[in-house]
Amino acid sequence: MNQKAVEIKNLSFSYPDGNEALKDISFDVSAGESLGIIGPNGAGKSTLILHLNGILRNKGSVIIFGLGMEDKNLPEIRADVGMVFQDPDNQLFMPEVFDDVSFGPINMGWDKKSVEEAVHQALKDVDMAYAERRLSHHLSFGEKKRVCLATVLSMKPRILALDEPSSNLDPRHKRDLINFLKKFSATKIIATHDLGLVLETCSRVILLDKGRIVAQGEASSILKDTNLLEKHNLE
Amino acid sequence: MKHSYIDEYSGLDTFIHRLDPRIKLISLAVFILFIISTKAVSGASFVLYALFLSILALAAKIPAVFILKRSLVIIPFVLMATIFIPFFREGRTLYGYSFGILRVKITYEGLMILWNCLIKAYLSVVCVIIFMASTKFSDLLKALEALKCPALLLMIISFMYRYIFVIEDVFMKMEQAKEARSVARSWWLNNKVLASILGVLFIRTYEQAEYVYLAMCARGFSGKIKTLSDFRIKKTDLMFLGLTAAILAAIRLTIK
Repeated sequence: MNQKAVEIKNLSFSYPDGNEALKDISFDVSAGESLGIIGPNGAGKSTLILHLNGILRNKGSVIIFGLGMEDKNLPEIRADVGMVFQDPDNQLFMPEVFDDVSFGPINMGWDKKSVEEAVHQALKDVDMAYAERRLSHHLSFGEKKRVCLATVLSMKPRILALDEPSSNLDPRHKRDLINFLKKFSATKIIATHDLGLVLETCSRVILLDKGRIVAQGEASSILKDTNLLEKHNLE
Repeated sequence: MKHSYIDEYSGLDTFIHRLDPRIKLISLAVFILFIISTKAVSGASFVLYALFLSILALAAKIPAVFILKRSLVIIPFVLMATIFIPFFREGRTLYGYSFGILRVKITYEGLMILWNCLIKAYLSVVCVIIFMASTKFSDLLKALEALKCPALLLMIISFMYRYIFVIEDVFMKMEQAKEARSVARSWWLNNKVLASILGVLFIRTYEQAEYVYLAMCARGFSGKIKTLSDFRIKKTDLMFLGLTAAILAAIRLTIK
């Protein structure tokens, strides 16, 4: 049997204002698998992603590579789960691109040479090598999105958790992103309503609506079910 | 999206720009110490300081107009603090006038204090402007880090530098959205809308700060930001620092 990368059991979450974002979610992701989480706006996709490295914690259990979501496991879990936020201005918080991409590796205590190598490789992977010394606020939105991905690639994560990775990318860079994700062999969890991206990069899909899992299965079969998609505002 | 700069001209490539930022920072401190410890009556020293600064600005290819414009900012602040001193300071009266029972006089000692504050503040600000215009802001932060400036302070400055333009952009976009939907213009309504824009801006900055913190935690933040810097002190750096100190000392020693 495959090793489980992510095991989620009976996860529920309400925001402090009483809004119930997730209701009784349970699913597993095997190591190396790519899972798409699709759903309309406000379905709870981002909230679910934020549970994968303990940023949000609530009722239910989340286990990453056998480690439960406890304070003592957090450093290891956060090194394993590379999380990319939806808004690049939240993800890129250092003045210079290089400092941002090196932020994770430095925190993980790598030596200077490995940090530099990881940063160069990560920026090359997302076609942003030219921007190493640029200032984050001088990048275009699409460039920022790509640097965001580099900020976690440099940490060499075993799980990549992406929230709307393709929003605002031009067609060529969306194509590059898809090609890159196809090549990238780690476990991937992608929350999006970009069905084209899911169809090309994910083998399995979970359809989320109003905080509940309403369908899950093979990507090809769920994405062909136009009735289902239409019912949940995805078509 | 606007491309705003705090550190305009820092991207140029001149001898001054290539200096190690730590050395530049120390030279800046030395220069300012010399300026503020000069006697007010020593007018020639100030002229020579200004000449030296002009040479540095010329070497760094920073336009004079830019420096003059920026440096004017300091004058109102200095004047606010010192403009009344010549009227109240006791001393040799240079000029006196009576309005009935009110007597107004300007004293030599008072005027000297005003001149002293004005010229020293102005020259110091010119120093800082030349320094800022020839150093990338991110390098400045790293130089401060290397010189053991408190990490918390640096973090605050770094975030300010990263997000001030984001906030400016958000504000600009909300302004544009407001303009696009303003049909009947009323001064009062305009002000009311501005107030709510500022309110929303405040909430958004607050939320953004929360998200940024989460993003930092997600990448292993544990209370201290560390960066890699590869500053190396070269011979030219030491020569620059030595030469600056020597010129300043020479000015001090030759002019009484």
